[in-house]
Amino acid sequence: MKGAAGSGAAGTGAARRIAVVGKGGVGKTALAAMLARVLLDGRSAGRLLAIDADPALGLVQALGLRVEKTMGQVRETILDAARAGADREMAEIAATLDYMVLEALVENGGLALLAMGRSESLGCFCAVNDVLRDAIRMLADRFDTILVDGEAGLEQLNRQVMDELDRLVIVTDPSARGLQTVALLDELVREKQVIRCARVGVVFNRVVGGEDTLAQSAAALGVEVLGFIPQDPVLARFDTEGRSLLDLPADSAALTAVRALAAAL
Amino acid sequence: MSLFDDHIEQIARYLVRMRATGRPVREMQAGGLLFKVGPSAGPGLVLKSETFMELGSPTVGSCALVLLTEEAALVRDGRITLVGPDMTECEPGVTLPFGQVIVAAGPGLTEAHYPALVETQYVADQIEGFMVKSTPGRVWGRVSMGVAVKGFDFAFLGAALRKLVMTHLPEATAVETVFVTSGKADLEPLGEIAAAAGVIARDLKKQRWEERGIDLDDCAFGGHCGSCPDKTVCDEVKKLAHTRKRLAAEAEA
Repeated sequence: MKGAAGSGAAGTGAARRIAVVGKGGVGKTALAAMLARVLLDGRSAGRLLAIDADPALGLVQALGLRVEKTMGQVRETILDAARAGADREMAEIAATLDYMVLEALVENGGLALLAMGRSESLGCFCAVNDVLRDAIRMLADRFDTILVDGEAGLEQLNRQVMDELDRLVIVTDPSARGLQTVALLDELVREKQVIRCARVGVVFNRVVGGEDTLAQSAAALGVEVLGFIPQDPVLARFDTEGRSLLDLPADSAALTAVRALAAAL
Repeated sequence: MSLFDDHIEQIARYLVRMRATGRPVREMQAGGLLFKVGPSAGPGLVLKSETFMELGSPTVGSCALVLLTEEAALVRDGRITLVGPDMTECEPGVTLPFGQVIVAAGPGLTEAHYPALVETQYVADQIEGFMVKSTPGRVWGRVSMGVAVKGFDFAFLGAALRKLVMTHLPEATAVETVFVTSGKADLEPLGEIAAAAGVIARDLKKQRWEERGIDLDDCAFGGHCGSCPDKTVCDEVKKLAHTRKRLAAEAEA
């Protein structure tokens, strides 16, 4: 089963890791949810783990799931134990961490989801982030495909979720400001190497024509175009009604475009 | 007389009470190992969709403890006692409360071996088709569909744990296990025994650390011990923030 899908990151032999990022309000979460749906439908993803890095748990809602525990709460538990000077051996703490991460894992049919949530404690606590990221990696290693809704941004993604990706999908609407963000994110990956990534591309969302112009704009930035998602009234209705995007009709225009996108990833 | 002998006898009395109250209690003997046991034998993760049965999830309750003794007479090697239904008697998808007791004996076993015995509870990834996640005092297990249909049961699980204990702790010459699946209420007396044994275990740990010059009651690892390359920069920024606060306070004064 393991390794059935995707080639994995170079040299790691691990799962295929895809993150969806972009400017606020461009439809990242909807795209991530539709990608999850398409990957589940196609059965080519193998074991699929979705990670909701949005503190507001947008992907959880878009997938119609409920979470009882987030990684933010796990982080708090670790910090509380550390502040109390808990008299535990490291082996116990390590084992407990795996227990808590599994508690935070929401499973629904073939989909498993981990919600990062938010932490109440202010402060950097790099050591805790390192431990948690390691625990997430250990969990993620058991999956074939990992799909991250990277609401928190690239730096937080690196610090708190994972430091290496196979595919970075930058979502944008057709606006000029959206493209500026694409350029910025692309630069952060390629030049600043905020996160290691094998392939970066842009997806234009809510497109109502003008694909050629958009493709030229992306080419001018030197960013690969992964796909165009059309404006879709069905998707908009599902969003308004708060319905799970896993229930979108198979012939929805947006879903059809995401199906083509998934094939290209 | 070992430190945990009384607790081992309490487990024996607990089983007598379980029988007396009409709980189904059966004894089995560890036999051959039907599935792989050892490093990397296990799946690490069994998803719900792949699970035949779940044991001791946080919602249904769990209790786990380990005990050791030098008194060989207190332990019958390979005995597996089950209170409640076996896996083979359950419908797919069921979740049962779970109690797990591992008792090891050996003439050379001392309190110094207790931490190693405790660690055998955290044997994730060492039993084929069986995922284990543990937190002190609790074990959460999932049996995969794949091994369930091939006869995975408590007789095998007991035999597998026995092998793991004897591998990790060569001083153990006899290992027996007790599993409880009959109900959450039946875990409570086990929890009381575990709590009492835990007090001894904590004292042992404190003593071990004191021998290394560390007082556990004073030592907290809440400080920043990370290896972040930017730590020195962050420390400087923190100093800056501290200075700003001090200046603001002085200005107000």
